[in-house]
Amino acid sequence: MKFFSSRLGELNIDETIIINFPEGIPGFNDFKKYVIIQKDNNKTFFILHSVENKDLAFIITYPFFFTLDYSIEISDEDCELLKIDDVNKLGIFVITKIDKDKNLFINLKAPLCINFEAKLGKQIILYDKDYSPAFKIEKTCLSEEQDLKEKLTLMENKILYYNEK
Amino acid sequence: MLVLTRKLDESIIIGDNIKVTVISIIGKQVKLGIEAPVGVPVHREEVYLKIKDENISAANIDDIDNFFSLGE
Repeated sequence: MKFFSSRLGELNIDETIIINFPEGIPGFNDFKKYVIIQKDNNKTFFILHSVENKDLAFIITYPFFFTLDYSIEISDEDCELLKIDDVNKLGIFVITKIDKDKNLFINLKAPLCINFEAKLGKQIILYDKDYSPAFKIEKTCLSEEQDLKEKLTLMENKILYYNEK
Repeated sequence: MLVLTRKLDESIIIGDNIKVTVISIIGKQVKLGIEAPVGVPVHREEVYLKIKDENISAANIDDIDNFFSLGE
């Protein structure tokens, strides 16, 4: 199916890569369908783009590129919503933002948890953890390469590969 | 706003299937138990509003290439 992105133009996707966020995303609760886009083969940042709103997109990243001290607990209710019985099967991403001075911040307080098999996602707010919703990145710290490869293969062929060149 | 007074262990039901129960009262803290169907989110207000603000600010992207040029 085709959808339009105000930043990337007209995009053509297989509907099987659409991820449903049954509760939407806080601030944008009306929009429930998103796709993940890898742009120009970048392996650090990805675009979570709404297929229902041409202007709505987030830049997301894998939190373990930037902090090793990060653990997530998911409630039974959220496991049910995401149709997951094993937290390790979830892709965990965080929403990023950049300020005027090009400082990068990641939202560790409310990660995006995605079940790529069932195509379900939710932004889960970690109420009981003291993580920052705007954690400033000073430097990167790559986690064990093997670990990372496993996590990133969860998304293989379940995202849109977009190249500008 | 509908204001109700409940005692310990008493509940209110919202609609047909959302139930809020007073579990304990210790000093100024009230512990509430909430039963709601899957798909109906329940949030602590001030944290939820903070996350909502962060999301709105993060979605306001001037130029996506600012991120992609950060590279390593």
